[in-house]
Amino acid sequence: MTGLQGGASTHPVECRGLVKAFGSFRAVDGLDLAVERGAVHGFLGPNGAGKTTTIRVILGLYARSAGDVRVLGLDPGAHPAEVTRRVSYLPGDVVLWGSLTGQEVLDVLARLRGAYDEAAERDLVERFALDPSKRVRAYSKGNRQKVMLVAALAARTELLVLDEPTAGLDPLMVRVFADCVREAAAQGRTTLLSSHDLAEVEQLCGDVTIIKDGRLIESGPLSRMRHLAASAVTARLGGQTGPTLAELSGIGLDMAEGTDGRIELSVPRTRVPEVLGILARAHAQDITCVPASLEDLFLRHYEAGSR
Amino acid sequence: MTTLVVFLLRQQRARILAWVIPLAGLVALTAPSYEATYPALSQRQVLIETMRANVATNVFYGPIPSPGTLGQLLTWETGAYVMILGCLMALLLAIRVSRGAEDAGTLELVRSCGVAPGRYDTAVVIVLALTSGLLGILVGLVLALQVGHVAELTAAGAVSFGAVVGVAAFAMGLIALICGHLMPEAITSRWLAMAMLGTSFVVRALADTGGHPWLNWITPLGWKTVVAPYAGDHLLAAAAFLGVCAVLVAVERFLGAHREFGAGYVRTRGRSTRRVRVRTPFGFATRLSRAQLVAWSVGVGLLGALFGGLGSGLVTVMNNDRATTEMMQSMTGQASPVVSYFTFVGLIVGIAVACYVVIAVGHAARDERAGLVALVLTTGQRRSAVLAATAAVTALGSLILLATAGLATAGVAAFLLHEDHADLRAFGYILGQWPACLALGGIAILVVAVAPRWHAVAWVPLVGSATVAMLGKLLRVPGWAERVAVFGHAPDLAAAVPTWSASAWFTAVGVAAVALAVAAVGRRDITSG
Repeated sequence: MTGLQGGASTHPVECRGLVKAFGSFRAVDGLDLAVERGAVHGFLGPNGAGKTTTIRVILGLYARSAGDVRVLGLDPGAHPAEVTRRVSYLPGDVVLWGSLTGQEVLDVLARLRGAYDEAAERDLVERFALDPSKRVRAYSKGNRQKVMLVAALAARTELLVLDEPTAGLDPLMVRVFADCVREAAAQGRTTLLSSHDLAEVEQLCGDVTIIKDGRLIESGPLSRMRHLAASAVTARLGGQTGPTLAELSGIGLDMAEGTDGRIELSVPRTRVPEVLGILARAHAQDITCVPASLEDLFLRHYEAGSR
Repeated sequence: MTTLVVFLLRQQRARILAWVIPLAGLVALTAPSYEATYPALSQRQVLIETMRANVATNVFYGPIPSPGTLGQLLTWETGAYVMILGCLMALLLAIRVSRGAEDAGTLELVRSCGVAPGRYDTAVVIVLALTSGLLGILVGLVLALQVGHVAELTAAGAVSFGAVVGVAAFAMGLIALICGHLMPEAITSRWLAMAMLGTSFVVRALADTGGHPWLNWITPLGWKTVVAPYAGDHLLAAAAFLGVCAVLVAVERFLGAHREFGAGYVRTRGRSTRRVRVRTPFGFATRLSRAQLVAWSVGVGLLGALFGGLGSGLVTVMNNDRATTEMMQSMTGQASPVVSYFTFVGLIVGIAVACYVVIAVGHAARDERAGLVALVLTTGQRRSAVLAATAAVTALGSLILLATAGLATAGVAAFLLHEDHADLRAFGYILGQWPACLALGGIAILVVAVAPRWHAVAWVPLVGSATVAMLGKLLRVPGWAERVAVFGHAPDLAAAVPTWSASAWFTAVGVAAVALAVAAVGRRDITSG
């Protein structure tokens, strides 16, 4: 049980061999997670992967079944209040008190914690274009999300735990949110950001932990994981296809040929410009290039594992 | 249409059956219990004379019909509960499937499937009619089956009682639907509908004690007296009340057709710049329960004033007839009219306030499942502190409610009655229900601490105790049940030596249960969904 003590100072969140079982079902099964101080750490996985369960253990809302957990140097199972006083939490499904106004919710959450920055709150309300005088019952999903984002960001905390933070936000607000998270990181705050959207995580996070079915798939700096990801490129070649196909297979790509000159390629990110260049020179039509999805990443991972 | 009706009934079936079956069961038990106690009409005369002279029963049940056959007694006493609870069932169901669905967003889903606005409302009316009809038919059937087995019961009585129960519940459900159109959301709609039910009760009590029997025609709760099951069986009147329901349906449809989705005829203030200055879970729990507590205070305050006013008048009338009173007391061994009346008032108020307690604790369980408790906890609060705050606010809330009702009752009684320490007794019997509320509240808190999903279990000791207190004599419950039931032990403050032992025990049970709950709550995972 003392295994995590040493790393506590460098890792605001550290789980080792974390298991959370509900009856015979293991929602989280032997997970390792380490978040560096000041990092924006992406916590990726498809729906039902165990992200929210892990977060609830980190916050001391769930008791772990096995393994070690340290949050800001403390065991959240034994000291949930001491931990959460220093943590801002944005739940994945934001439900607020319907009879209160947005401002009243902000007041309550801030005063219960006892440490918040009123000027920062005003600034955030403005940036997120939130009308805090309306009652929660009249808010849309996006507005409820904004209330909790303001509360989480304005609190004087060291760690932000954000569960699917951009759900319900419009693209403009997603950008505001991204700026806020970067500013928080610049102030030295640590962020654990759970998402099932790889693109969102790529924009913000330096480190990523990917889980599926409660188990760790991959963890580390995003830059080192890019090799796993590949973009899907499709195009239709007209006329003479032979030389182009030869050129493409020459650089060693997985390729599928369809009827009427349709081709599908799986291209590592670094080689996408090169491949697009070849296709452009061959006057290919209907070119699409889709960045790797989370699903592709899993497939790649499993393929890499089975080789 | 059939699809919608079946869809709604499937959603609500457990809830509907949980109301209808116990009510039918209660009706089934009543006549045989009376018969076992008083097989012959002549043996019942003393009881009936006592009841006729009893102020409390006149206010709460209305006048006892003559000559007092088993069917008449049944519809008079048990019937009063079936009417009130049947109406309450229809009211809650109506709000839940109409405004409740609208607030929750499920109605939007149904509408977006190509269901025209009026069709859903029609389906709701049909569901209400079917549910009220089911209650009426079950009650009537239970009584019809007893014809021949239990003497004095008639088929006509069974039919007219079933009919009036069904039609009154349907009417109350329709009134609730109208309230749902008037108010902008489910919560306020439910409050308005409850206020209408309360008003129905007050009008009925005035009709039966103030010498204005015609008032019974305008309150669904008075329709039983008009139809008079087993004492006239005026089925034509029941048919007239069905006509009233038709008018209510027309009003409901008109209001519904001219209302925008999600809006109400009464608007609430949309914006507010108020701030909240609470710093503790206790402060926050107080802030959240404030509106509810104010509404309940008004309710029980009015209830107390009503009981104080009506009762005092009747006690005075009875006391003027000294000879009858003394004869009655010597025959029944009953205490003075003041004691028996205000003991009864204390029971009613105590049960009402206990309902507040269980509902308030139930809200805490609901908040946890919705994720609201997690929001409070993740500001650095302890599980135990949050639960203890709920317990404290509920306990203080019930004290405020009892004190409000006690002061209202005692105030009116002090004005009208100058004997037998009426005011002190009225206040004492009502406030004396606090230990009962503490015990039930403690048990409810313990249930929520251990298993929030099972918070409905907290209703069991309340319903059990209330049944023993109100119908214990009728159902002839054993002595231990009377001792365990929490409501029947309020001390008599005007007695030479008031007995406090039961109060002390119940308080201890409540405190111990809360202590156990506070210690236990941190040991389980938080519940969600």
